[in-house]
Amino acid sequence: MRKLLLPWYKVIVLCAFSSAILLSSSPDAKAQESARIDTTMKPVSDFGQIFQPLKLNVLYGEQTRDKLVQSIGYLDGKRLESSPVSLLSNAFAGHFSGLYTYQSNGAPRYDATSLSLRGRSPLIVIDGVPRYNTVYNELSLNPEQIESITLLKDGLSSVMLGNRSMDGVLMITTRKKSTNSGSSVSFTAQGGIQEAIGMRKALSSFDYASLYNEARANSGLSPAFSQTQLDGYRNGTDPFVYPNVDWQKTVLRDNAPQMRYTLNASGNYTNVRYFLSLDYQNQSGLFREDDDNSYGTNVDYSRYIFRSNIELDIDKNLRANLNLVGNIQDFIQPGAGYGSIFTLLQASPSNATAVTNFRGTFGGTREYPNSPYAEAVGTGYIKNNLQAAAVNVGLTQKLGSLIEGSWVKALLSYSPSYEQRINRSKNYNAYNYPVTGDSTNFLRVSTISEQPNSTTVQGRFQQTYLELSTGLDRNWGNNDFSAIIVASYDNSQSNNLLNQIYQGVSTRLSYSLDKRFNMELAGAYSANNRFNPGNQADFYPGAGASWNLHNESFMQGNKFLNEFKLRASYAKVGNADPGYYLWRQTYAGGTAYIFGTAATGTSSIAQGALANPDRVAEKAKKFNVGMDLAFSNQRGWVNVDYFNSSQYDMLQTRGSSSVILGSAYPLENIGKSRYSGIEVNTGWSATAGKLRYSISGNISSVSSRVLFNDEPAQPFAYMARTGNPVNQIRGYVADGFFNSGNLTSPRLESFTPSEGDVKYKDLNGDGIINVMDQMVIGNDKPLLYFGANLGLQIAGFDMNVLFQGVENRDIVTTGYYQFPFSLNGQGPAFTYNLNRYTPGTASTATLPRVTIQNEVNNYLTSSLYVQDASYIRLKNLEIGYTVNPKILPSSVIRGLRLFVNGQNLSTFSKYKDSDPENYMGLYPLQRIINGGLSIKL
Amino acid sequence: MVTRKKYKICVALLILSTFQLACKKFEDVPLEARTEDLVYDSKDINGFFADQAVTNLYTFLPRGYNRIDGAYLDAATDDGVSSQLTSDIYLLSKALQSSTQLVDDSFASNYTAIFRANQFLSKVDVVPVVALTKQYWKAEARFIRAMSYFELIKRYGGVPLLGDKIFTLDDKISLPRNTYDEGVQYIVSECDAISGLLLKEPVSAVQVGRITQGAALALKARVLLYSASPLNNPSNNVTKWLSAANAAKAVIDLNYYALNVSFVNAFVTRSDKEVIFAFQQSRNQNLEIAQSPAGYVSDLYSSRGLTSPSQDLVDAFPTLSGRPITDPASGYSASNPYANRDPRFDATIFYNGSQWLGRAVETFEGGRDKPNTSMIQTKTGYYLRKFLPNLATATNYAAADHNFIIFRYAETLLNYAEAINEADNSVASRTIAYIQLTNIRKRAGISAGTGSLYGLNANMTQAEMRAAIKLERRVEMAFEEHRFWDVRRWNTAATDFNKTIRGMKITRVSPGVFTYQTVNVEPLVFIAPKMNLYPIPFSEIQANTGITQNPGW
Repeated sequence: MRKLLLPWYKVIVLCAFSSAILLSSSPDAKAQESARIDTTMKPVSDFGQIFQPLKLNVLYGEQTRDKLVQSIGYLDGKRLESSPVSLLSNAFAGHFSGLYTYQSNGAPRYDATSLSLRGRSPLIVIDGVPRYNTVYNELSLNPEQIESITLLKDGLSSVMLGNRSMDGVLMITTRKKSTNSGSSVSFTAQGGIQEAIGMRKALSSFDYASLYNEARANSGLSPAFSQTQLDGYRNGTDPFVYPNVDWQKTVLRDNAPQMRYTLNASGNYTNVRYFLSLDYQNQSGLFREDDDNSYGTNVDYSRYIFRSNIELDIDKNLRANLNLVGNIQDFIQPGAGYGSIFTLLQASPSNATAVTNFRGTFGGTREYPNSPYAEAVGTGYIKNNLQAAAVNVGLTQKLGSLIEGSWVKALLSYSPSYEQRINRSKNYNAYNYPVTGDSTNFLRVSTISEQPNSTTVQGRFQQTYLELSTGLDRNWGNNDFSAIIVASYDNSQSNNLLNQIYQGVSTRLSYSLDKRFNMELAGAYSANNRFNPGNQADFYPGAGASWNLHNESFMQGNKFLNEFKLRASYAKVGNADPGYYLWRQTYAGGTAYIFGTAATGTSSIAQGALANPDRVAEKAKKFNVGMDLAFSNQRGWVNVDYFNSSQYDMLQTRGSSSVILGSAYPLENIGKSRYSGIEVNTGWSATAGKLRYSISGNISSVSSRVLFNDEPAQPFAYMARTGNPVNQIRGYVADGFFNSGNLTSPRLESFTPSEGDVKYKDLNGDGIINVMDQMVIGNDKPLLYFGANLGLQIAGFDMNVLFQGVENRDIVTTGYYQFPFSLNGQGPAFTYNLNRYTPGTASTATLPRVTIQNEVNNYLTSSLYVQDASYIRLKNLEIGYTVNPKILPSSVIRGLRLFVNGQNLSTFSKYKDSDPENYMGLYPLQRIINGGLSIKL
Repeated sequence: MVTRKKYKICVALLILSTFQLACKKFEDVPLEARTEDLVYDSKDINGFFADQAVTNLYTFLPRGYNRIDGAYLDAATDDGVSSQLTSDIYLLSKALQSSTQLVDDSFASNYTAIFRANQFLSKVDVVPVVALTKQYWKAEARFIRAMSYFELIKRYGGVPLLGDKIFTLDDKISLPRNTYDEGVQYIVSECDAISGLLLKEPVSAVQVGRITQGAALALKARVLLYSASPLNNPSNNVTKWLSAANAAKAVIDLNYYALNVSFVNAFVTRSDKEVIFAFQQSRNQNLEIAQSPAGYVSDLYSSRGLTSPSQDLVDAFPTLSGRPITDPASGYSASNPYANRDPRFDATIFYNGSQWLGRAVETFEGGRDKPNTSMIQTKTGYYLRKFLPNLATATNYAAADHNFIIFRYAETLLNYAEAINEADNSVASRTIAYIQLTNIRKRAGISAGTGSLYGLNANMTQAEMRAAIKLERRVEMAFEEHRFWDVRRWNTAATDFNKTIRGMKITRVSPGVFTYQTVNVEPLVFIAPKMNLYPIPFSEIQANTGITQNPGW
């Protein structure tokens, strides 16, 4: 018999407590779910709902806007439909206050945007079931399936998730029915082109070779490129021996197509509601292909999604929900892997090698045996197949005959996924012919290999989720009361790891008095099985209240202000991060060693890092105050939130971790930090004559502070991290360049500076530049991010514009894309590298002199390479035209809309070398221009 | 009411299924993550996992070859430079390392080895293997612990000695250093204690590579030699030299070890009487690829030519007669500088005209192995030949034995010569030193010459003998990670390691006719006395408040 994770007596106490409250409430009150819905409802515009609707999805239920206590963000699923992106998260940017988005990779299928909600990565909950970010196919939903997204921002709104509540929650609710009664069918077809943005510009061969010789000269070395070679690059007479290849144009297409077809059917009848969706989407990669191959090598991502959401009222008290989801994905990429080809593409200078030699086979040289072109088209292909499915079965029984207003509900969800990889990759022959026309003088620099056919399991995951809940909704007199108790069991299995189990019991009690005062108490007792048995469970309580001032008698005369609410909440939340049974002290296999004349490999074993048996969940105390205003007959609104989250028990290694221990220190619950910030949402939506318009915007700030990280005593105050923002960039402070006048300034010990080397500030004034001269050089200001939206509608035309941006964001550029020739004398140089110091450009140079050898001083992390990567993007624009149904040829077609839209249309940033989000040389982000039509039947 | 019943059944089923799941018996904790009682199993008479725990300790032994970011440690001496344009080795050779930019930092890894050895020693008693096996295991663990301390004091000076202490999370580690001499004492006492408990030579074929009595004695000899050297023995206490001499003699007196007749084969033979102890590797061709002149490429093999030996080292090799090249009677010719040299020169250096894979090495300007393009290639006109088997006429590289030799018998002889020469300024001592040197030179293939002195001057003074031994160590043990430490312990790095590394610019006048011109390659920088020791990592200075930084860092 398995040990139970929870001490059940505590659960019983919790249940008894809750039921006592239930029973003590007045039995004759009338329970009605929607009795108190505000009557000043504003019709939903065709842009989709912009302001919070009257009813909002919260964890395990719904809440009306007037009773709201929690801090919640809302997005109508319709508003995502104008984004022609394949992964849903790529459409989030700019839509929510409090949600920071960062997309660092543009590869089809792998281009998920990372999300940060008030400084933490939110848990994804889809239709009430927590899904893990690692199973990102869960976010490959299409926008048409989505009814709404709720962002649970404060502690109170997420606390019922117990040890998963600390990160906040992004809650996705899929559509269950058609908007109007009866049935409707719609079909949308759209196609577009993608174009890479933010690609660096490589130097031409001549410029590259000249700069290379300059670097060698600066390093005291003889030139590597002779005048003949330089002339050859410049004249381009013999492109085989003196290549000048634009690798981007050679390997990448100017643009790549994508398409999507969606067929939706939905219905809304008295006893049955349903939503069915079939979706096919295909996104091509940017690589060129070679006609010689009988197969495609370009990245190709196909996805089929099937969804069937059915809601059935079996009798007037019993409702059944059945959601079925299927997800099939095929992903093809070149055998060398799209990622490494992109790295190689950018790391190959224009003169690396000819694409093909004079005999028409792949070119290559000793230094650059693999050209990015050969890697893209000559390495076969790899294909991934993914099948994922989810089934949710829910039953809700009203128990009005037993206890007035009460109900019970059961939810079961099972979700498997399986991915396999078919490897059909190979190597190819590449030849170097040093003399064009001389076919006897050659060197094979890359050798062909067999093309295997092997399959591997790429990942297998399954999740079983069970939830039993019961609750009560009542009102009597001026009192509204509702209560819910939820027991949940979430068991997931990933590959060969033992199942991870989250279990918990949670409750929420809401009480409203006289439409004016709302109170909410919530709590969870939850556990994770990968902690030490004594440390698995903890209790997480929360409470909040709100005050609807607009319902106070003294506000009744006010015609302008329609809603005026003040909110406050406080909760203790947790984050269970047990690692994989890291509380246990274990031994693991180490490096093998060789014994005997036969050189036999012998296994070895050693103790791993010291275990910390006391590891528990990380925790935070989250405080939130907010204000909601609606005015001018609800045409305008403002929401303001302030949050302060004190994190404690944060995992880190101790400050005094001496290596004399002889073993790695474990993570311990010792860190403390604080995140705080302000979020503002505002908007105005109205009509002027025939024009309907809406303007909305949001802005958020997040500032952080390390309160305690067990930091050793620092010799200088500026070296301390405690008291400063989390994730600061630290390094030397660049102070111009050495020149003939200051060659004796403080420098690295025993470094002999030359003119044009970076000079650093000697912060402690000891005449030497060393670790004592490093301080914060970036990301020391609160992060600000914002979105702005404009919607217009007139005479069948509609338009939607979304701007999105970030301020106070710094990045450090480093590696081969910042430092020329830094791959041991090889590697690329880009146009911006020409801004180096030369005696002639001493006053305008932004980068140090180029060198090629033994670079110690100039490549240190310093303020010289800290870039202001703040940006504003024209993220999304859509223009549509809805054809007047009266002029449609057939009465079968009830509606027709034509649209064009675009993503990442324009970017404004001080950082111009590359894209401010994707600057590390990964697969580029794309500008997408897309168009299509949508038919309603 | 029918539906009501149905629903009840449904709920009941759901609850039942939950219960079912909760009852199912499955692995509570991952079984592949072994716990201590399994590793040190009190029932396993074979000690399956305990054996593996010993094996793990071996992986901490020092290894050489291209270990510093593709470069030999010796590329930070006057013996050579790295051919690479960027490598961490430059931080060492240009005196640019610091307590936050560390090179060859083994502070943590050696304490890890010490921790694991201590842990093994404290736990292994419960394992019921036969007594002799356990005796060997424990002695091996103690050897690796002693070796780790030697690697520490060699780099950092005195370090905290832990004895058998095993720290836990509850300990706040704030340890002061022990002195260098205390470290030496500890290592010596451990070597003394275990030398009788270890495997005795000869070992069986399957035991090749295991720690033997000879290894413990050789470690003791080297530790005592280092501790008697000027850096660590400023008052020149001759008893220290004497104990060093005796320790070296003890290895010789085992009467087992001997020089391989072939200098080349000594480095490519897995089981050899010249090898006292070596870091074992599987057979490979890594060194062939890393070291061979950069122009040797084909479908079948490639070569990187990562190391460029210096003109200084080249000039240090005597001629075939054993005389220095500066001696007019040596037979050296500046116009044909590579002819008629000590055979060890051919075995150590690829020079212009060396035979390799069926062709002559071309390091003249524009030659196949020095094309002066952007390709990585020699900076000095030389490549490193040492440690490779003889492939002069081969057509391809083949996997070969490339164990890194930690203790070689030739070193023992040189240790003995050096220590005895310093211990006692007498003809008798020098006679002993002569014997060691001539043995080595004889094996090298140098002509015996008059009085069978193999080119050595007769009747050398103590200082002359000292210089002769230093030279012999340099050429005999080039690129074996000796000179880097030798020059430090002799306390002569301020001059020896502060110079411009030179190379040879070879111009081909016509096929087979070359002119030679020495050229400056790059500076070698040494800051004395600071660089005689490494800096303790800054993070350790911060974490461990008891420890003090080495002077100057």
